[in-house]
Amino acid sequence: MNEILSLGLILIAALMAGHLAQRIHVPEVSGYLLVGVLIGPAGFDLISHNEVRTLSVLSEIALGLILFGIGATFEAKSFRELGPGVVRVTAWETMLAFTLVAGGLMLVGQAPPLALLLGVVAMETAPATTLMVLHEYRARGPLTDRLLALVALNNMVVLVAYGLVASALLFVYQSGEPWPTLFYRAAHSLVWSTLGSIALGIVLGVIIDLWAKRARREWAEGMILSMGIVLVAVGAARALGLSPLFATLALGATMANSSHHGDYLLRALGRADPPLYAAFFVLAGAELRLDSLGALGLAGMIFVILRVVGKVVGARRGLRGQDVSEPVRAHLGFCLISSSSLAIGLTLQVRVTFPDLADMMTGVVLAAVLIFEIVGPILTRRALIHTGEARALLRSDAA
Amino acid sequence: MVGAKLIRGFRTKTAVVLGCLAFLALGYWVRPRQRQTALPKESAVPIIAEEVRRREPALVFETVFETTFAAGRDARVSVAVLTTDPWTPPAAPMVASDRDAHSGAALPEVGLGIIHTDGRHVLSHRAALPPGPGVAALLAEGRRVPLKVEAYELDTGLVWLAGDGLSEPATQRAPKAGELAVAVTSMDNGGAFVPVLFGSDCEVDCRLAMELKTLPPGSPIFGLSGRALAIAGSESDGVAYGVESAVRRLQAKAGGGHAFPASLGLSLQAMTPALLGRLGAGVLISDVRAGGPAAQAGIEPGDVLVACGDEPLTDLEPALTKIQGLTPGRAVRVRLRRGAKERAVDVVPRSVSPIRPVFPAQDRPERSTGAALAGVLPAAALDRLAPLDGDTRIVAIEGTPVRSAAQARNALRRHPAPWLLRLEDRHQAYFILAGEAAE
Repeated sequence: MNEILSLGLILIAALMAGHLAQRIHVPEVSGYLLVGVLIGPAGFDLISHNEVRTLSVLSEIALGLILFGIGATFEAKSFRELGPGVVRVTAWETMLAFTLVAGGLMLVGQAPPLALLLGVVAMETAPATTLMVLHEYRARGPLTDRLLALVALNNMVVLVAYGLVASALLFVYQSGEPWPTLFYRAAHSLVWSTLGSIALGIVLGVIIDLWAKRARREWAEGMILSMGIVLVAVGAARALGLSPLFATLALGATMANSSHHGDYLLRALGRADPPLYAAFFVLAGAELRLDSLGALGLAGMIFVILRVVGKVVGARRGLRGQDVSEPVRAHLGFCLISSSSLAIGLTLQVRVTFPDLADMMTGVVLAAVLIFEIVGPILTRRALIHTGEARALLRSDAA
Repeated sequence: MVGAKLIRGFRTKTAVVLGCLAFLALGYWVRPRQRQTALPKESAVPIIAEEVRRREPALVFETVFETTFAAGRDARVSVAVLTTDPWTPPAAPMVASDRDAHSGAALPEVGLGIIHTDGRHVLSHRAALPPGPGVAALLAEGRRVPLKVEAYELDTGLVWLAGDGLSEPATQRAPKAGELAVAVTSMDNGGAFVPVLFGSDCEVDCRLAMELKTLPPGSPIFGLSGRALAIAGSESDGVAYGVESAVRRLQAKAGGGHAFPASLGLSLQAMTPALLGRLGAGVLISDVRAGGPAAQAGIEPGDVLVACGDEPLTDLEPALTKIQGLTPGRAVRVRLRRGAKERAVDVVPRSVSPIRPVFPAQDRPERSTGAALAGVLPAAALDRLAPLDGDTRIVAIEGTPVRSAAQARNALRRHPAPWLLRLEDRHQAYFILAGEAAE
């Protein structure tokens, strides 16, 4: 099968999966992921690993668009209201997940480097999955507002934390290079991948703003403009060794804050991305490995359980003293359970930097991501229903 | 008023953009460079890769490329990195397998170590060691042999484990926690060095690959996951063989018997004219491996090997060929000369792998014996010597062991020049004749 046929098949399968998912009351994302597992290498192998890999460029583009969308919700005005609270929740949920998972794994005798790296992976929450669920149910409300800011902040924290932990481990465990070199390498990569990416996003954001002022407000032009600039951001970030994730987030945030055309651009983009998003999640599903569940083991179980505990308890603790309703308090943590591409990306990075730890880590993370990706959207859906923020559902369920 | 605000706004925006651009430019400029140079145009690697694919279809190589790394000052090491899909284990089951069961049938993936033919050592990789404190080798009929780590190489992560009675081939049962399955493989002793073919399960960045070095032929090649992927080629064609096929090839070559060359456990040294004048015809035994066949037969460094079997020996190369061609396990009579006395002893050659443990520098035992050359040898004699390794020490003079500079000076006084000196540096021990009268 060639890539184009695969892509066609992916889109058709996604469509069917979406409908089926609505029937059985699970989010569409879960349907996409499941159908991905089914037609992917782990299932019927209709799409081979090579095709998944060739099409992964689409996933990268889709992730860029998704984060651009999240960034665009960061308006300075609303962030000033929610910001401090969200920062507190992020700090609590990431730190608690990290501490519990790393500590728990060390307690059962896992090597400290492995425990620490898995701790970092446990901090992550999938932005794409979360956003898709929110979109599907046209969610609006205090939980939704917080959730969007949370996943964005969460991913920044995770990247920084990974940088810190990996550099620290390199210092302790890797000999060979003189430590000033090592230190410089670590410090540069940390500063570069955060501040550098943000700088790139700001520059491109200003460009999009300047252009949008002069553009005719037609959706075609808006779509080409926003799509083009997001692709430039992702591509330039890759070429410069920056983080595409940060760059597109910053791009979205700059656009939202400096231009009055943000809404129009986003709406224009919204017409283009459904097929991309569908392909993104089906491909993500195709990369999940059902057989990895067998390799979960004790370490994997501890990882899964303690991550959930850390996220849920951390979010609750972070919300303490904040003016939110009880359902939001109870459910926010459960919306942070999905975990995805960043976790797998970090694992790939670990494979390069710490080959000794890679196998164990891969086993645990692949199995855990499989679980979280299936369960996460369902929990988010539940939270949206309980808080009354799933507007799409409210209507259809009432009918 | 409005105009001023606009200009201010415009200025702030411009300043922010310029600042960001400057930051990007600066950050890119000061990025840590990877010490990697461009690919040479005519690269041998695609040819090698093609050859590997042809001979070893079971090894999955997705991309093969060559890079030249500047390692250290001027040493350049060519490394071919073979990448495979990160989530899929190598298609070839690099497994422990029975000595006569090389049918190529799929076996469980348990190949984590390789028995070294001395029957005591297992070569493995740190990443392949099972978790937990104790490691045991898993042998035929499920027999477990406790192992202890004897040495590991920091650069490559190779681990040497020792345990008694490991000569049995490994079982095909998958190992449980705490067990390390071992494979029996063989390597032959080719002459040429080949480029490293490093099999990895993922894309390797520059930093990792830089730590690799050229592997001697016969070395096992491990994936990053610790699976043995291949054996570095033993011929001058620079090819790596899959573990199983290497074993098959070598065993076929050796007629199903011993795939290793025979060894008497001694190092030989060619006679220089000066040494010939002093010690007479033959090949000088420069070193004897402790516990080896020669050591057990009472052969000592400084003995001159005169004949092996019926064949008189005078030159180094024919002597090495003769010894390597002996049949392991079958005793051979060798004639030796020590001083003026000649004698014959029977030695039983063993089959020995050419691969050796490589100890990290700090693990190498500090040598306290011997005396430095400077300050012991007369300056004139020292000047006439070829340049020697910095930490070369005199360990014996005229057959008498030397432990300090004072002892060395005494010994030199007792014997007339020229002196027969046994020297030792980081790599080897050998004899020289020093203090000869100027020609």
